[in-house]
Amino acid sequence: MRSTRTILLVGLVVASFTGGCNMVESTRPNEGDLVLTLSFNVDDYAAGAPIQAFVRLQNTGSESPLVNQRMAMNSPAAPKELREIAFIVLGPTGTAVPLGARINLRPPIESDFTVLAPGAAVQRDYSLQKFYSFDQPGQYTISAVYQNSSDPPSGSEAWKGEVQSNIVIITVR
Amino acid sequence: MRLRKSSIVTGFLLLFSSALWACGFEPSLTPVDWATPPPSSSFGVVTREQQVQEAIDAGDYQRAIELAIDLYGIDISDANGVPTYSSALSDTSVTYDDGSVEIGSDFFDTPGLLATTLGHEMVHTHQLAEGRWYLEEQGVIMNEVEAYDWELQNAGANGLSESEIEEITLLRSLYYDALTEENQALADQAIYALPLPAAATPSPRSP
Repeated sequence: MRSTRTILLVGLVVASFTGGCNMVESTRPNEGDLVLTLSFNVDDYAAGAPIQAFVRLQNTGSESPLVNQRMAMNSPAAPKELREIAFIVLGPTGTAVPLGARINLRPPIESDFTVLAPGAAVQRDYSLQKFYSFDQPGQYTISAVYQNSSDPPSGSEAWKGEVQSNIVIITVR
Repeated sequence: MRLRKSSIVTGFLLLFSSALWACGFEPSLTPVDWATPPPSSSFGVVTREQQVQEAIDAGDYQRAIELAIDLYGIDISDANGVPTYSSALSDTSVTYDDGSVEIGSDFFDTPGLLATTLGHEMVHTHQLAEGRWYLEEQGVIMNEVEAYDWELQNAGANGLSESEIEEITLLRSLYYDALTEENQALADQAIYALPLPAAATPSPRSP
């Protein structure tokens, strides 16, 4: 009787400890389980109008990877440690539109990482007209790349790799 | 003669006491505890760190930026207006190619970090003004190395902590390592100009 009570007590202590720590075990996803989707509020814009891009990273698999949810945008030229999202923007003539900004980022911190449960997604939006010139009227072909090569400071192992989004064509009048 | 002397003394005493009365002087019997120093604020000395920190603590990030520019002597002459706080850019500070600058909340941890971040972005505005805002990969990287070098050179003046200097050193090394050997050699000599295409003049961008 006493030993049963002791086991129950120990179990309760362990359960409350792990519950308090909000421990969710991360697991390695299979190839292709993380899907990146790029979308826009509309696909036809007046000159000078805000162009809001939405990038969603979804876990379509059955594992629960630890992902970098910061999804900070930077130049494709920036070091991988300082770039989770890079956009590829092709202008009406088919040439690449350069990023019209210098972006300063700090290294990712612990709270930038989250366990992405099966079916769950993280999303961030970007005001693209602030970073790229859409001055020329015509069609712009846009895609995004998500990548992570960092682990959180605690040393847990985060998912590392690169995911390419779908391609979206928008028109600027 | 004696009467004259005493009237002079009496007159002097009268004059002295009326002067004291006019000055509102009241002899105090309250003992002064010289062992206990008065609170520091009574001296009216407020450091630049305290002033910027007060604005940060009050959540007035725009005021913190303006104070940091003023008190840390950040040269914003090439910027397009005063740098602004952006709640939308939590983890980012940005210089746009029209010379405007936005600072996200992650850069308000300390007054020194805010000052060094403003200085970093101002290096980019100088590059833009000098026709060194490069469009190709090596140029973009060199622009960043120059900005981090400015931060490290001014770390003492901006009162950065050891950990802040460590972080800037790490960020600088990430960019420096991405330079070609030839460009690393130039950066080692503080030569940041490259024979690469650059953005010509700032063109105002729609908000």
